[in-house]
Amino acid sequence: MSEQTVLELQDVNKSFNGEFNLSNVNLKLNTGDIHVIMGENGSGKSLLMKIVAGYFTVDSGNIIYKGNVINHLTIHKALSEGIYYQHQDLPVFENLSAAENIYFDYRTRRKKHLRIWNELENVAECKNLFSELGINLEPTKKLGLYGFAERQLLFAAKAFISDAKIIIFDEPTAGMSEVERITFFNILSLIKKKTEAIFYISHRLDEITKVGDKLSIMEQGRIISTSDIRNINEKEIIKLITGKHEIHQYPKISIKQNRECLLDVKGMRSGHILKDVSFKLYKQEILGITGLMGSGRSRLGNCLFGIRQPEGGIITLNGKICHFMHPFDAMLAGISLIPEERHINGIFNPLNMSGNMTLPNLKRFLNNSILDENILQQVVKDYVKKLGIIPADPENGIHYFSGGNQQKILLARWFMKRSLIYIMDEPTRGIDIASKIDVYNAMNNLVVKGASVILLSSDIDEIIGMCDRILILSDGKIKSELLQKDATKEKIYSLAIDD
Amino acid sequence: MFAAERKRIIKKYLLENSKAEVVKISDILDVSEVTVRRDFEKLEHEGFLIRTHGGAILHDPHEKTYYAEQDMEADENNQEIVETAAALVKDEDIIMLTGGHINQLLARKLSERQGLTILTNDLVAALNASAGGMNRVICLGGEIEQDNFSVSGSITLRNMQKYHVNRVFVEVDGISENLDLSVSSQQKSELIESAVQSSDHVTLLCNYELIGKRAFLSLGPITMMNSVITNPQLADEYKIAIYNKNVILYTSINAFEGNV
Repeated sequence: MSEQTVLELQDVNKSFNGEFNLSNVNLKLNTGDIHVIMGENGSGKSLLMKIVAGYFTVDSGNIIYKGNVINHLTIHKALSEGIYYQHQDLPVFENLSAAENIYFDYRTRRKKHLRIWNELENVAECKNLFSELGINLEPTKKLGLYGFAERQLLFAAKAFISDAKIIIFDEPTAGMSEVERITFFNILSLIKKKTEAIFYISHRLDEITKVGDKLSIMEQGRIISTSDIRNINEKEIIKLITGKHEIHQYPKISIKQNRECLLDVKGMRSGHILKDVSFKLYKQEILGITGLMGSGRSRLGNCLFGIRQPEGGIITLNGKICHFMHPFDAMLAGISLIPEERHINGIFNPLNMSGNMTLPNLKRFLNNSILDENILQQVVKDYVKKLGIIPADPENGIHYFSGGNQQKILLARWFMKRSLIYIMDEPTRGIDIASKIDVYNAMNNLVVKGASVILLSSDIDEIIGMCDRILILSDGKIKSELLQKDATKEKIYSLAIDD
Repeated sequence: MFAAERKRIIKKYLLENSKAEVVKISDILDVSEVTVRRDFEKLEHEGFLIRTHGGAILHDPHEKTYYAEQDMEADENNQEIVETAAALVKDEDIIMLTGGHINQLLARKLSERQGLTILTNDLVAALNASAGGMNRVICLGGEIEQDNFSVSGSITLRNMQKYHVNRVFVEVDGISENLDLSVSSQQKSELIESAVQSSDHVTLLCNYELIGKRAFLSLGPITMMNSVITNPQLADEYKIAIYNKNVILYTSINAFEGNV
């Protein structure tokens, strides 16, 4: 095998908000290789790939592509240089057909002057392409009607015709069934013949040993090892991924439970993601639910909070069967959700801190249909003090606060609501250490006062540190249940990646 | 319902329960929370109660307290620490309390529980802990220090070495900026060192205002503790410093109003 390097990363650094997301990454991509990148969620795999594909520029270090330094790529330039990135959550046009989605930028990049959109030609070409690749899909069907796995196949076809020199696949098989995976690997082997090298991000051990040549493992923004896949077995890989970084202690308060069932979920189904989810939540416990990217953690939270209606299954809360058609129903029943995407689903940018905090609780400050601003401000001040929110001025716009303090404002909002169940979706992602400690202590406060917490998180240390019980979500089902005392990082990881 | 009638009911409720939650009173009286909060405000002016987060407590100037009078703010903060500490104590635990204000409050809180074995060198804590009558309380003997009603000296130390405890709650007199602990007397230092040795888990109770103060006798670094219980107002840099020293940090957040 020729050891010719197509792409080389030298001491690449990238930080956001002063926190290092990539530090001193060195990596070589050789001709003819499928280079697999593994690592826990949030270890920086996708970010690294996005830098290669021109989504972000490096803070320092060099990207060398075929002997040239290409530090200041844009997405468009990267594409024309021959770097194709298949996004983890595919950016698609749902209202266009499959063929249109595949070909919309194909001809414009190829023919500089004559740009005529020929629908018939496209569809015919697309049909040929599909039969060549063995994809059994209809080119004229709207993309919105296709599921996530089918879209991944379509985009693999797009990668195939892109003639790119480097193709990056970011967890392409997450959510695929066995049949789709076989089709995908056929396409992948065809692509491998056409292109020079491939980056492949995945969590599935079985497939990386099948298709991969090189394996790099990332941990907290660093590449901790690169090895030849033929020289390493699955056990060693798991050991490398779960690593041995410093274990910090979590401020856990265990409440003696009387195992009184508060929430009982049976056979919940939603789309292709949740197939059959059943679990129980007891009073005063912190229940952790973890799983890989795309395992449906957030979907589960959304279904419980009425943002999505599950297609099947029964939710029993306090012995009563519930159907949440809207988050409002869930809030009335005593469920609160602190969502994952704080900036999109959590905070209201035009409102100030006190507005953000009191929004779902305004009813508490009504006096004969008039809002009592005076009392409201007193209560807000109380919460600011109790949660240590800085800066403490309630009139400040929400954008003046750091991520950690915004998260604490959201906690205050739902604490004020006095719910029975708090669903927290990645509550500590992207916030500073001091706020993290506060979030954990706030969770303690909830269980001490009699509420229950469902912690949805991809941070396995946090899950082990804070939860009484841990459920592992995989392939749309609750795969297994562990008690805190039995849980180890390696155990959880191997359960989560195993199908 | 007339305001006077509401006030009478609130007063009666407070006299019976010594604390009241806004949500609960608003349920009982079937009036809005705002109305209750306003009534609380008026009653506070009258000096009958003191408003707290989400409720009020009875203000009783004649209340008999064994511990020294402190200002309201510090008292509330100490109470938060006590709540967290009490939640960490499991049924049938054997615990040790060293002398200090917070431990005296903790002892009083633990007197509501049963089946615990509580060791202490603080006479007030011993009295407080035995108030409920459902716990075993062991008061270590020795010479009484007049200023803080605790016993110390060689007899105390010898007594203590006979016991092994699950958890010891320690109070110190000062914590420097770089998180070194200090105490005010040789006896206290010896007692804490000995308590640390005869225990599985050592927890430091400290009001966040203690950090930055220094007492005259150095005890050791904060890493001699397994965990620290303090207040949420603690400055971020100390939170991070304690986390980095791998000591469990409880910030006693108590933002949830009342119970579920």
